[in-house]
Formats: sequence, C-alpha cells, structure tokens
Amino acid sequence: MATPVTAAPSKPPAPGRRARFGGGASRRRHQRTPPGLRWILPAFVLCVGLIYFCIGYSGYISLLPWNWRPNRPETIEGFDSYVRAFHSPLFWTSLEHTLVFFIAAFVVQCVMGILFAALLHSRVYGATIFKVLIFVPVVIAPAIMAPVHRRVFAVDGPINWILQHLGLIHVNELGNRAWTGWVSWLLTHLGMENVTPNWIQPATSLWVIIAVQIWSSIGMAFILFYAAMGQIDPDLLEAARIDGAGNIRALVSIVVPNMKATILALAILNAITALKLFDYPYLITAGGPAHSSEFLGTYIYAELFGVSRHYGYAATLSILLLVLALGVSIIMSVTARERRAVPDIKGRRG
Amino acid sequence: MIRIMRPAIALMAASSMVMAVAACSGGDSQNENSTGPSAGAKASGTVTWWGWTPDTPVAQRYIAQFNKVYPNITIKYTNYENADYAPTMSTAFQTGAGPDIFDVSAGGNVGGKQLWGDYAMDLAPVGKAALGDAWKDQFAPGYVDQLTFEDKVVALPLGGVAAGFFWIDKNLFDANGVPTELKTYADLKAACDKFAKARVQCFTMGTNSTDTFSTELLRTIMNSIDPTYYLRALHGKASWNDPVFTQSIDIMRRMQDDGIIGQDATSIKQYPEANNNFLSQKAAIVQMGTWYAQYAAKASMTASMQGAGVSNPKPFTMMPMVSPDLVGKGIVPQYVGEADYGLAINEKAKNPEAAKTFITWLSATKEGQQIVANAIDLVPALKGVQADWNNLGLVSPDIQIPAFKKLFADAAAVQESRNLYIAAETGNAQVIAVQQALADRSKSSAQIAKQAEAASVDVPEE
Repeated sequence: MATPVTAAPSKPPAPGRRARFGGGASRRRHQRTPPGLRWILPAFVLCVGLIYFCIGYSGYISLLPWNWRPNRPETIEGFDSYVRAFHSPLFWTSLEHTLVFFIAAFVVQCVMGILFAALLHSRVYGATIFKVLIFVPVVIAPAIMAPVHRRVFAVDGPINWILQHLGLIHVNELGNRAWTGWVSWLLTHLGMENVTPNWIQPATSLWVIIAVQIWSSIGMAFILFYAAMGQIDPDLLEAARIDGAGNIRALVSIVVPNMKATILALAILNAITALKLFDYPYLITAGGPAHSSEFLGTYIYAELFGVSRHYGYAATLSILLLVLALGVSIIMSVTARERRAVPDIKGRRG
Repeated sequence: MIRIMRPAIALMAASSMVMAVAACSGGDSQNENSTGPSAGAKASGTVTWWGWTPDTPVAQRYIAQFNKVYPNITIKYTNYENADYAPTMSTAFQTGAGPDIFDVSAGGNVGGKQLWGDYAMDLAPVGKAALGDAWKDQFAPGYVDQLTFEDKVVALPLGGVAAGFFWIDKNLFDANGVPTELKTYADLKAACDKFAKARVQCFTMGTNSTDTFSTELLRTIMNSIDPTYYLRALHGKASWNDPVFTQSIDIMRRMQDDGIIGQDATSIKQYPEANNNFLSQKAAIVQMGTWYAQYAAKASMTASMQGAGVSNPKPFTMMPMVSPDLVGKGIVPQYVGEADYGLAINEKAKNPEAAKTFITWLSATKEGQQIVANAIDLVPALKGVQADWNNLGLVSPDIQIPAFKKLFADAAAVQESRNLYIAAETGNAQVIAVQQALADRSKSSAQIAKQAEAASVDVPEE
C-alpha cells in the first residue's frame, strides 16, 4: 500500500516580522517598502531634489569668494564670509531689528488677538462683520498694501493730518512739521528733540514696519485665539463664574492658560516671520533710511542684487538665517512639548 | 535606361555641388557683412531688449523708425524700474534666460559695465564693420572707452548724459512771481518761501532708495566748495572725512531747515515719487540730468503727467537751471557727465544678427542717431548729429530751444565724469550719508563723514 504522500503540514508562521510579511524574498522586499511611498515619491523627490539641493548648494556657495562675476570660483575660501558676517555691524543690527520686531509684534498680536477673540465670543452685534474686517488684512498681498502704507505714513499723509488736527503737530510757514504739546515735551525729555513727524526716519522707520506687520497679521492671531477659545470646556468657565470670577478674571485665569499651545504656535509663527521678513521693509522703507529698518531678508537681498552683488556672502547670510530659523523652531517646539508634559505629570502625581 | 539616366544624374550631382558651394559662399558672405546694411536687410526675427531706460514711449519711437527700414525684425522692449533692473538681469543671466539686447552704462550701480560686461559679446567688430577702422573716433570723445570693460567693447554708445543742474517748472515760477534765475542761496530761499505760501513744494528729492540720484545734490554742493575735491576723493587722493564733505552735509541740513528740501525727502524715492511730484506740478524744482529734457515736448509731457496721476494734463514749460551758489564762494558747479548708456548683445543671444542690425542702426547710423537726438533723452553719441530742435513739439520753443541748445552743448563738452569712477561701496556710502544728513540729526556731520570714509572704496585713476 502506497503511503499517500501528503504535504507536510506547514509550520505556523513564527510570530514577528516574517509572520507579518510572509512570502518569498522578493515579496518580502516588496512588502518592506512603506505602503505610501509611491504616493509621496513625487513630492519627496521634488523636496529633496529642489529645496534641499538648493540649501546644499547655498552652503557650498557660502564657502566661495564669489562676488559679481558670472563664473563660479573654483577655490573654496572656507568660512571667511561667516567670520565677516559675525564681524559685520549690519548683521547684528539686522538681528537686533528682528528681535525687536518679534517681541513687539508677538506681544501686540497676543494682546489684541485675545481681546478681539474674547469680545467676539461674547455675542457682539454684527460679530460676523467684525470678524471679516479683522481678517481682511491677512489676505491682502503686501505688494498691494505697501504703497498704501507709504502714503499713510507720508509726511503729509493721513496719520500726520490726524495728529495735526489733534494739535500734536505744528506746520510752520515753510511747510515743515514739528511736534507740539505733550509729544514734544516727551521727546525733549527723552533726548529725542530732533525727531520730526517724518515717520520714515531712523528713529521711527522700524516701528512703522512693526505697525504695518501687526495690522496685516492681527487677523491670523485673532482666528487662532478665536478657535482656541471655542475649544475651552464651557464647564470650566461656568465653574469660574460660580466661584465669582468676573470677565477679566475668567479671561486671565481660565481662558489664557488654556490657550498656551496657541500662544506658543503664534510665537513660532512670529519668530519665523521675523526671521524671513522681507516684503514690507523692502517695499516701504527699502531697509532704510541708513539701514534703520534693515532685516536679514533685506540685507541678503541687498548683498545679492544690490550694488555689490556678493553671491558668496549672501549665501552665507542665507545659511545663517536657515540655522537661526531652525534653531528657534526647535527650541520653541521642545519648550512647547515640555510645557505640555508638565501638567500631565503633575496630574498623575496629584 | 542607365545610359539615358547618366546625364540626368550628372546634372543633378553638378547642380547639388553648385548649390552647396553657393550655400557655403552665401553663408560666408553673410558673416563677413553681418553688420552692414545688406546683412541687416537679410536679418529677421524677434529680438528682446531690456533696459531701465529709455521710457517705453521713447523706445517705441526708436523701434517704429527702425522698422521702417527693417520691417522683418521685431524688437520687444521691456522697461524696468532702476531698482528692479539688477535683480532681473542677475537672475536672467544666471539662468540663461537673458534678453538679446540689454542696457549697459558707463558706471553706476544699475547697469554699470562692470556688472554686466561679462555677459556681453565684444562689439568692436560690429563698430568697425559699421564705421570703418577709425570707428571709435566717430563717436563723442571717450564714449566707446567708457563702455569698454577689460578690453571688450561691451556696448555701442547710444548717447551721453550730464547732470549737476536743476529743472524748474516755469509756469509755477511765473505764477508765484519767482524769477527763473536763482543765483544765490538767498535767491533760492526767497523762492522757496514764496512757494511755501502758495502751498507748492519748492524742491523735491527722494532718498528712500539705494540708487544714487540722491547723491547728486551732495556732489553739486561739494563741487561748489571745491571743484576738484570729489574726483580726488574718488581716487583716494582726498578723504571723505574732510571739511568739504562735512560742510556739504551741513548745507543740506540747512536747506532742509530752510524749507528748500522737503521734509519727505527720506520717505520718498527719486523715481517715481519725486519725479511724479514735479510732473504733477506739486513741486517747482527737481534735480535731474539731461535725460529729463525728454519730458519737455508736449506729447511726452502729456503722457508723463498722466503717468504721474494728473487726470487732465496741461503741459507746462520746464527749463534747465544752473545750480545757485549754495555755498557763497561764487563757484558755479560744473556739469558732470559721460556716455550714459549703450546697447549690449547677450553672448547667448538667440538672434544675434538681428540684434547687431538694430544696435548698429540706432548707434552708428546718422538716421538712427537722429531719432535718438530727437527724443532729447540723450546727447547723441555719433558726432555731427543734433536734435531737430524746431520740430520737437516743445511746449515753449521760443525760450526752450536756446536753453536746450546751450544745455546739450555744455553737456557734450563736460569734463568731469559722473558715475564712471564711483565704486559701488562708495555710492552706497554716499546714499547713507545723505539719508543720515536729512533724517538723523542725532549724528553730526563729522560722524557721517567718518562713516562715509570708512565705507568707501577708492578707484584707481586711469
């Protein structure tokens, strides 16, 4: 009797990697490929091929003594241009302006954004219209608004007209304007008596840029805070009310602490905006007068396309800008994570 | 059959050879005479031309006249603002997408030959083919050399320029009882007082830019103090940290305090704002060079006034005015000038033959240069060409023609260069100095001069 030949019962697949993928070697290779790779491949190639190549190429150029001639120098200069940047007063001035811009824009956006969001959460009549009005500047291109702002802040522009009619500016018979009243008193006591009602001057041009940027981005802060407020558990607010908290107390002690993540997100957004700021300073003040509103973006542009066309040095500044932006983002993200982790630990311990 | 075919095959072979030889010889002949009229007549196609000057209507006039002679060549002109020219050109050249023809100037930070000369083909053979061995001598003295970079003739000169004087709106002067000859600082101050009463800005200038227009006044003042100082300082034979410089800064500040220079000088640009202020008759005086004469004709002024925002423009009479003695030393500052700009051909031009034809016609033929002269944008580059003054359609020909003739004659005879020896860093340092002079009183004129000296780069004398 022939023994029927039967296939040996196959062993049950061992648990683990092989069991999951199973099949032959080629199939294993195929299945090891992340399932979504083919879908992200075009974007991946574009990003790596274009953006990261450009970053790498900029890094390479930053090491070259390449000024304005069309042919790229063959010899690498090394880190001379980095040393030059660190010794350049203009580099530090640009960074200082960036820092001032960030702090001022961030603080005002937080305060105004939270205020607008709180007001519009409290059933204001015509809230939709207010929301639109606050958000509209966000969607208008800087190139369109810059000429308007140049006019708004002109010596004979609307702001000075209003101040003149408020009795704060005096126009003499020659047509020259001067501060009067308490503004004049204040400037004199601050040792700034030479500051005239000309907004595009070294003493004020940076603040013009900050004001314009705040105007154009306050809508974004408002929307973020408005959405964040909507996520706060109403029971929390109800409990605060029962405990006798008024509007301001509830806002400060309940609403704001619950929007820390949004505030941090706004801080990161503002930091990156400050670092890469270009459009408004370039279009309104051209980084001047006398570099008084120079930012890293305008500085890089001036070095790249300006009078001297220092390709290598401009690339160096770009790399420094990239490092700064990455550094700031990483620090803020880590800080945000740590802050999120702290209440959990406390909660578990409590 | 084969026998019958043999003569036919031989005939075909012979004619093929003849055609091939003819084709070769035709090609050679075209190359040899590629810049001559016959070659130009054969050239065809589209040529792109980018420039910061001339204004588009002027360029269109050039092109229209050119097309009467060469109808098969289409010239597409794109005009860029001064500040946009360098970024556009830089990007275009680096990516191999530059125009066939582009503007190049003798110096300066917009179109200086040192910036763009590397991308241009040598036009010496083109000039020689058009005008013979002594071709350089056919142009105004020095013009070709001024557009030569590292032994390469980067561009053929289209015309020259001079600056160091002012333009006035005679209608505003007359309406306010201001004499059109202002000889001293006191005269200028008195004129500005009258304009202030009439709520007209006296002198408009814009410094809110990196271009060097704003430094023209500073230079005019320096030349009123010591006519030799500026060039000496450019060549490193004098310091910018010098009493001449500090005195000039002080005079600029005095002019601002006295209501001569507008308070808005640091918040506007020379182009478009100061230009618009003058053309819209909001300001009575502006400092521009000979190129500004182009707006004196009725048609061009009407178009320019509309461009400046005037809805129902009525052309006014604009006149050149020699600078008043701003210092009180009795020195009239000389004009400064040189070859303004020329047209260069991109080494990678898609249609070089047509480009050569256009440039040759506009720069090196009397016909083309007459059109250039009649636009009164430039002092003609080619010797012996003058504007047809009586037929330019000037607003007030009786008084403008004599004044313009003198202006252009003086411009052609100018001795001191305008931008030729100004290093980019020096030009930039002076822009900053002017901005600080007018907008930052916390800095003394000595501090400004010290900064200017530190930031400047000397250019060796040729």
